[in-house]
Amino acid sequence: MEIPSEPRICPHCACTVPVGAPEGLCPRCVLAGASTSTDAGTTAGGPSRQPPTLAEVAAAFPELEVLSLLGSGGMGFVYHARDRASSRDVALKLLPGKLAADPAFVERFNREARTLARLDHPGIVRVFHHGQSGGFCHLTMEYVDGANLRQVMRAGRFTPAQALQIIPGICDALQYAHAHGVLHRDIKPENILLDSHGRVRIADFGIAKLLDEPADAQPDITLTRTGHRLGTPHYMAPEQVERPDLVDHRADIYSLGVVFYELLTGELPLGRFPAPSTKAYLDARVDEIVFRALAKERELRQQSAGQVKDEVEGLRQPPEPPTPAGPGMALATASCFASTPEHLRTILAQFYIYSDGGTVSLEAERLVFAGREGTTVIPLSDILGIGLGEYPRLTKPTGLSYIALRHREGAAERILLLTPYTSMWNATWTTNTLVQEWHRKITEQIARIRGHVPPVIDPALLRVAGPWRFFAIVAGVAATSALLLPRVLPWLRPTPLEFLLILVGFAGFALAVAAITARGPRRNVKWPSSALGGIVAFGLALCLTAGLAVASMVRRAASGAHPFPSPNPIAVDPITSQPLVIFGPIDATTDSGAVVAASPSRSESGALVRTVALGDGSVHTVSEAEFLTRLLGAPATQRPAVAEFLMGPKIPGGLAEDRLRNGAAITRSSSSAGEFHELSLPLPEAFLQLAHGDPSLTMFILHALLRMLPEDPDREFLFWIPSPGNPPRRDLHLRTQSRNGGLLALLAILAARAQPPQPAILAWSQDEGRKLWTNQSRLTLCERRLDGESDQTWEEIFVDTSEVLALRPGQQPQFIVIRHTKNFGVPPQTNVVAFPWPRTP
Amino acid sequence: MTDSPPARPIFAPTRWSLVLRAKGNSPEARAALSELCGAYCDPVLRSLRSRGLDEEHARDLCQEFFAHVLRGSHLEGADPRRGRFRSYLLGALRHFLSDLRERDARLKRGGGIATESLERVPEPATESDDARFDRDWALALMARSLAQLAEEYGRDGRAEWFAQLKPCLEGSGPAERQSEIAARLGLSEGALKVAIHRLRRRFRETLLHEIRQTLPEDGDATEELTYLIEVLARG
Repeated sequence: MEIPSEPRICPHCACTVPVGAPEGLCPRCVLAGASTSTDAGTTAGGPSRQPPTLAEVAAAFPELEVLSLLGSGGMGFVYHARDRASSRDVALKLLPGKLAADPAFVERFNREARTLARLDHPGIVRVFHHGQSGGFCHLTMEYVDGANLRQVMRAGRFTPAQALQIIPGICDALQYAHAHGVLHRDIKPENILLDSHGRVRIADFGIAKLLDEPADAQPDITLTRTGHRLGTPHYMAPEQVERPDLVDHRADIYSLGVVFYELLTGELPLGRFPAPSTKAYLDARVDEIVFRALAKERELRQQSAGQVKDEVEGLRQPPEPPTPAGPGMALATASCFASTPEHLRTILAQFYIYSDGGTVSLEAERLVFAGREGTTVIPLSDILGIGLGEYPRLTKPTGLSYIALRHREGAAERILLLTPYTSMWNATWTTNTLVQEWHRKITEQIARIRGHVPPVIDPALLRVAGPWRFFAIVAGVAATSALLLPRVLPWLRPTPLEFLLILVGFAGFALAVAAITARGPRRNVKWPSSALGGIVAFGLALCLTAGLAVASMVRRAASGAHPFPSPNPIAVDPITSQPLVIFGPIDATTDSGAVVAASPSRSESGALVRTVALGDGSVHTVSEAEFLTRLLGAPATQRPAVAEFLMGPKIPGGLAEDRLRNGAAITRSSSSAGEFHELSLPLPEAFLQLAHGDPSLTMFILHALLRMLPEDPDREFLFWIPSPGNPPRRDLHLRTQSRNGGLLALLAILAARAQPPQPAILAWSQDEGRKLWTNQSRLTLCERRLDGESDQTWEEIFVDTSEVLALRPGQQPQFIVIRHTKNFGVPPQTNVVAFPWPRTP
Repeated sequence: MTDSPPARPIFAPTRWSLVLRAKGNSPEARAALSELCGAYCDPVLRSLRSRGLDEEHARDLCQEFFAHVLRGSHLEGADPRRGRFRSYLLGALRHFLSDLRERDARLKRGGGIATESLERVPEPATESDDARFDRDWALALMARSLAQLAEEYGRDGRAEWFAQLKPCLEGSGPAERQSEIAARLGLSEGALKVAIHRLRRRFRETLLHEIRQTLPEDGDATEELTYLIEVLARG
């Protein structure tokens, strides 16, 4: 036992090594080192299964003397054994037991193993035998007396020089295997062995593939699951994860890159990983080799393992002084946005400040910006000025910086603004730090070449107009919308669906434009090109849908049909010029002429005329003959429309009995023939007089009813219309199968109009959201309000009869127009209800 | 594919478990106990010295203590499933010393005893004395494992390797040192890394084996190791 004369400071934990410590070693570090197993990694990757005991294995392989279990994991179990015949040490690998029961697997295993057995390279662990024995698929391999890279890394981190010594050996072995058409697919430190002479030996070639392929016969066998777990995700190339069936040898190169990175830094290249040179003291050219091997697109990687080896061995050549890179060798590379002062002065720049995006590399004597729009090469000797600036705060409120480079291009002078970045999602200040760093790098490189620092660009050259144009655009759009929408919308009257489609169409248009003109940031978004086309097509499809919606609106607007059911302003009160809201039984939204009301009167010459309000808001006075011809005598195809007009299609379910308090009763009844509505109405004397005094009204009703009859033979009408020739009857009885609330209500109204003053309801009507009834003194409007999800309440609004307006003051009224102001809702809404006004006898 | 660790069944009877099972009465157990005592007399000796005894007295008392222990009188009550040799030895030492003090006091009351016997009686144990004992124990354990390793390497004719590689047990150290060692041993750096890995693994195995010898049959050696590392870190 050595006892040092004076206490030593342990270089690892910086504590004083106690006097009398065994061998003068720091006991803390030595024991702590021993407390962690160096064998970690050999058992990773699979569900912990009980390995077969040595005796079991020995029984299955009598030709071998099984010495010990070396390791176990998802790949199976590895035993150290000695071949009795040749006294040669071998490693016996048993694949997971269940697999041997699957004939498809065994067949594939034999095929693969034959291929593996042909690999004969000093860097590859040889496979001697393969087969099935004792219920196991097994491989007998060369026994490597050494340790794997994982274990060795635990024993001490690699210096860059040591890492660079190891890599070419791995490359050689990979190159050999790739040339023989064998991919490893699971390159990781656990599979890279160092023998006792420190030589690289790669084990487990192709095993990952063997275990990863799903067994056709038994898709649910643990093999598949195990296989997916086997691949060590951190070492797998992106395409190996996404499209395992399409991997080629470049996936091994990616894995090699990960191992390389880990050897250099002791860490895995996860997420946005730093360059190895920031973690270890090494040549910056190593960064480039590692980054290339780790490229997400395999096309950007080294295309063969041999190439990696060449590049690594190329590092042994000392870098060229004074600049550490020859022409074409980048000193630094970064993703980069580009812009120009000219672009920043355009209106487009108010929304998107960049004119291009790509990669910038600083080389010994030039700066190369490779963008979508083309590559700009600026010889450093041509740079007239350099400066730092900020993009307009309007689009980049946090103040994103750029490097401005004024340079000669031919005879002209140009200014290029560059913003290198590591990730689009970085905070501005992170990117700004990078921008400043690049500014320093470029300045230093120019100074190195030209011997002096380049002049700073005159800020006047970089000045951009203020944000007034942006605000002008926004204000212009807002004003135009404010002016146009109220005019266009009532005319177009879009339905909610159409409105939505138009909005979606705008979004689709924006999407398509963005996809077509994508630049800059999109370079780093890994969209397959087909997806880009798909996005454009999708956007255009949305535009098309919106276009169809607009077309349908325009067509409808031009034809005068309106899409909304009542109540909607569809006519104008001629007296007050206010929109008439007409609903109820006399609001008939028809396909043909949209007649909403027709009332007979006598013109000044004494001829019978009709005042007809149409759905487009116009009011016409037509002769009786024309009215009958155009409406009642319309071609058969239009008759249902006329009938609909009379029937008031907007009354679902017809009338409810309880609302008719004037003695009339409307009941709903069902029979085998269907559902019927019946109106039983005591005809008052006044009505009889009304009918006597107005034969055209009587005719009107008669016409309408009669024209319905032949179309629906099931309908049964029993009516007595008083006429001079008929003995007057005191009641009217109608029975109809249709939901002809309109017709019945019309009759009810007519009856009510003729009624002498009485407290009962004179008129009554209902649509989906409203009920209206009236007597001589009071008009009651009842509106449905939705409370919450499903509750409905009806709110009564009492309308004073002074609010009853008459058309054409001083003359015989033709409509009764009632206006009421809703006392709820913001803003207060004025509704007007119109009824035909019966003539007084 | 690494070289094989020596096949050592985990639940083979350890020396301490042999002692416990036989309550120290079988010849086998006596041999095991005497071997254990031989291995760990250093912590006892240091403990006695730290209680204010000079080298010579400490050695005498240590001899006496081990003679006392090897008589096996304390083992009667020991639970064969629990208790580790370290705790046993520390407890036995405490008893031994308190007995000693009592005897001493009795003699004093009896009168006519020289004052030198007072000097011979160590101070009572304190908390920090126990911690020191455990620390010394860890050092003894480490020394024993290292010695065994050195012997193994020497047997294979690689004593020089062990001498050069042992600093690597502390940690990997600066890269230059590794290159230096590699050059001195005539190895490539890769081969050196493999050699270091092996040394560390072998050391771990030896250490755990040694710890196991002081534990009852189902004792957890890694737990004991963790405890000893903690003790060292506190000190």
